[in-house]
Amino acid sequence: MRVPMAWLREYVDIPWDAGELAERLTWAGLKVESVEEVGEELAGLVAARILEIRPHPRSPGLWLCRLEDGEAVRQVVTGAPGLAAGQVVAYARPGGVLPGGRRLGRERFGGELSEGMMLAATELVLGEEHREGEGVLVLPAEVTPGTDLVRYFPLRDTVLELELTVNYATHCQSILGVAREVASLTGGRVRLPAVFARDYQPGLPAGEDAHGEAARITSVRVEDGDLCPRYTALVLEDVRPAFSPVPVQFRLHAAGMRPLSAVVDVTNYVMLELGQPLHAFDLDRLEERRIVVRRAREGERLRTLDGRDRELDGEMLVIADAVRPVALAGVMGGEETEVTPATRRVLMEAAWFHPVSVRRTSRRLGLRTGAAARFEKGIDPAAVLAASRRACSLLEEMGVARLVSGSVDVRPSGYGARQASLRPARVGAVLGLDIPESEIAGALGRLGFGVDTTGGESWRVTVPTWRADVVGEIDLIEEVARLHGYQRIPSTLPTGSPATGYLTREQRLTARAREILAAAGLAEALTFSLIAPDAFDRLGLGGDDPRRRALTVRNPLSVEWSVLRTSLLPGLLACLAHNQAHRVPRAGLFEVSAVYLPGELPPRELPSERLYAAAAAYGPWRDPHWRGDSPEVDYFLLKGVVEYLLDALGVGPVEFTPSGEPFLHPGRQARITCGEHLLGVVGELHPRVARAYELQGRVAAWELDFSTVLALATEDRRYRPLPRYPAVTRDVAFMLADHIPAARAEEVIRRHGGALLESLRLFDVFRGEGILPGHRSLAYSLVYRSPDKTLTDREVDEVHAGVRRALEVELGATLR
Amino acid sequence: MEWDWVRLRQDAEAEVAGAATRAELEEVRIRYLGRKGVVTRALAQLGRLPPEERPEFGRQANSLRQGLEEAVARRREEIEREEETRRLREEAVDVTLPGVPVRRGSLHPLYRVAEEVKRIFLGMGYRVAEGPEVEYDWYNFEALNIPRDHPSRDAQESLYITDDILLRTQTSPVQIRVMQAMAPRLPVKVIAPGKVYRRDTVDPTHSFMFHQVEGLLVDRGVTMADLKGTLEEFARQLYGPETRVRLRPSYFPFTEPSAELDATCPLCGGKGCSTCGSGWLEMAGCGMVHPRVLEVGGYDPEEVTGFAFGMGLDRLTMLKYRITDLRLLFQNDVRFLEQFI
Ligand SMILES: [Zn+2]
Repeated sequence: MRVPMAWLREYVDIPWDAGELAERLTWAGLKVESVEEVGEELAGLVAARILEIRPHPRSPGLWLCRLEDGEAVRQVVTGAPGLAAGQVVAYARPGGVLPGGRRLGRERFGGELSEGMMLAATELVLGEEHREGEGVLVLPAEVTPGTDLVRYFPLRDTVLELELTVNYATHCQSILGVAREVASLTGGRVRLPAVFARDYQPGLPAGEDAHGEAARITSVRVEDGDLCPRYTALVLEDVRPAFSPVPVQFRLHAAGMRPLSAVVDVTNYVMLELGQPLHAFDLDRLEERRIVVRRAREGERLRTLDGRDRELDGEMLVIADAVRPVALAGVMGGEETEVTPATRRVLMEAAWFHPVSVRRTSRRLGLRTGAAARFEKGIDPAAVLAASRRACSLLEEMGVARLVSGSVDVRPSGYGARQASLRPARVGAVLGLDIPESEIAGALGRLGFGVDTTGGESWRVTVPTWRADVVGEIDLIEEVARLHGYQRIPSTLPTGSPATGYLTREQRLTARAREILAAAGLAEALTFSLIAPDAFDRLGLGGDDPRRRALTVRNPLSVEWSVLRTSLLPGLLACLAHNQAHRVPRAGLFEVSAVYLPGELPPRELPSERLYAAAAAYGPWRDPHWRGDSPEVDYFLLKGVVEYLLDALGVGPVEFTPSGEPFLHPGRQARITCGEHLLGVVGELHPRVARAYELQGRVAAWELDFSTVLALATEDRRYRPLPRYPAVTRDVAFMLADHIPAARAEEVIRRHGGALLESLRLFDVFRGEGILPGHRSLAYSLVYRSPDKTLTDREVDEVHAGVRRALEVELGATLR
Repeated sequence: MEWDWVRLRQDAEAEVAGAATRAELEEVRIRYLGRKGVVTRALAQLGRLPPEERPEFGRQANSLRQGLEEAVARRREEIEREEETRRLREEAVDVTLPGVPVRRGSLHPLYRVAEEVKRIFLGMGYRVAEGPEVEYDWYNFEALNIPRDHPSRDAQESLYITDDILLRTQTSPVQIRVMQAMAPRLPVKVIAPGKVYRRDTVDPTHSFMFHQVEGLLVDRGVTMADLKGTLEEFARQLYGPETRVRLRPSYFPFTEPSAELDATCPLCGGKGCSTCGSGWLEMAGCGMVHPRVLEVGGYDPEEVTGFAFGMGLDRLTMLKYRITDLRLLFQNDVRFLEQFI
């Protein structure tokens, strides 16, 4: 909302400059985004008298004009017709600057010098080429040549750009509305145009008033009163085509609208000024010269003023004549009935349309107009006809039309000021400060509310019709707060019921997990929850893989981000690819975040949002270093991280068994389980999947259902006594067939090591010389210890021999 | 045989002192104190001396032996010290060579800031609540006083799954869920950080996914001054004790009165800079919980009042680490992430 200061000053006295006004309005809730000077660039625009005019000697259709501009006598070549010596015209001197910054100079046309330029209103106001049918702007003959036109009209103003919140948009989308706010701040009064003040009707019952000549010429029938509580029509005759006076054009321009023709300009002018949208129909183009307000019928179409054919539906309210829709109610008029230079009679519509209806129509058609913006926030029903009269009287003043007597005013609903109650004690209780009752009443009074304090503890407050946003007590409290000043609210700390802050077990453990993964050397990532629909194909998931059951966003902005992830890995793999594309030599990422697992599809209930944890990495585990190179990321490095994480969370015992994930290397992947619980999977990426993500080299990854991990986690730690007797270490090395996993060998060793076997550690895996094909050699270091005595060699030898024998017998191992 | 004890002692001590290594010293020791050493032999002669000479001879010989033993021990210590000094000198390294690198992990800057926010509010007695990101339209809008055709839906274009299910556009629906779970117990005192989604393109300042933290306090006698004081305390802990705050009128359908809370810019201390312009930075949208929202939550607005606030975590993060492009937070370039070790 743009507010030219000079216009605002017509409505209210302002004791402040623009900067201070902006500050004060902002603090009252009308945020002023910027303060802009319009017309600052203008220079050398003056009145000039035509001394002589004659045809150009060589170019037919051009004239040579000699002008006196108060400074010098100039020659201008012009193509404008109808000029005569003695006229005073708008003129830009050479060196003069038009709106938008165009600077005029001296030129030659057909060999004749032309200095500066005579101006049409459009050039003067907008700095643009004159409109069709528009000639040089002729000023009253008494204007002295040399008069500065910027000051004469004026063509310069300070404009406040307001960024209105939804609640203030109801009553502040007009000069009048902002003026009321200013008056509430200054304690001053708003000056209304006389005709508006006279016809302003604070309350009317439902009904129909049709009288005077207007009622004989036209009629209005409102069929769908639920969407149109009030519709009024005035009739103008003897309409002639004209452009608006320069001051009107300038104000429209300063407020951000384009001047068009006088009739259209005035409807816009009054909308900006009073907040009431108006529409002018060419009365003689309305079938039977009458108005029907109704919902559109299926299949009806309308070409709107912007030249586009619109398909209408039964939800949309239209203005129709006897036959067809001629306007989208409250949104935009139709092309066929618009006012043209040929128009002789105008039906001036001023109405009150239902906010939701206007909003739906406007949104469905993508038509955001000034009228719609006002109707959908709620207008002042009391101002409808008064605003229309204001517009008609302006047109009469301009001499472009004559208002016929009478009016048509159809009101399916009545309207009037609403009542609300306010307990003054409640104001301080909500805001946390003491405001005297007199100040509360005063603040509301200055905002136009009627306050009846006779109730004592509960006041009756009358809400003016222009405040559709104010409904209940809390709205009134807010009004008092902003007028009293938010700055005056003190800072206190709540003194209510005691409360202790703490994290839940899950929150605490999740934070711990993230710290562990960072300590393990991974960088925490934050990926989008939305992934591309082809992510599952890229992973090579089977057609019935449960992870393909994902929710899809119905209206995504980009299909790349349209499916709610069921795994964290697609996001992490894409990020690894980003890093490789930027030639980052090594990357290791983890994320602990939600995946979204729907129940039935399409969903009727919310999906289960399960916390997952995942990691993915490529490249050397450490940066290259002078002391030697680092291992490359592989299955075992990331398995080590998972083991660390699960250990630290007290989850165990954990088993890794070969698995068959399609996106992982078939020989380098394991399912991670704890008892009967499936925790997740770890492995190296299948080369086909790596190619799909444009990843080079070995990539390893894991993913855990972290919600399950959390359920199994424990923060309990028990002290184990330190050993009091020495340990005896024995190694065992043996050759074992490849199909027997090391975990089996460990299980055998543990079983036969019994209570004396304290720990075992694999320290070598060897293939090659001396080892049968299809076999490998495993070497374990076993630590034997008794908690209550020093073991003798004999005791250890006996147990160890049992272990060795069992490896041979149970696993067919060959001892080495 | 006449023994020149003095001479003998001088020679022996000179030889001990002259030994440069432990081996040489050992040679000297054997020569004098060994089984066939000079001193040992001398003592062996003792029995053959006339009885009146024996005590003197014995004393001299023993004194010599004792003296030499001590000298050898001293010298051995010296030699060992010298040898160690030499070894240490040889082992000297270029201390400017880099240390063996530890694999460095890092925590995401946004989560770091979220943790800090949580820590501050936990200290003020708040708990951390969670709510679904895929949410019913009813919780996200209707329950928050934003019916289907409310104009403020314009500013929050939503990503829909079905007519009734969407990706939450704000963390505010958690307010409703928490109140409904808590009612009628008091106080309701939670913050709710989390992801939110809007139909926005990704650019340096926008993203379809971003993060908010919601705060809610419902209790008897909660005032707007309490809201200001609470956020002032938060701002001071986050930005420093000099920080000042102010409330500016604003509008949210689910709070009334509504406000924006500005804090003095931590970069310039409120003097004005290229980041803040005026010296103030918008920190939170906030207000008193609307009576209708309290009712939906299961509380009687005549009995209790409440305040709520919402902050953009992405913005706090960008400000804290002087990050100028929002996209960096989601690209996961490790060169970026590893700066937050
Ligand atoms: Zn600053």
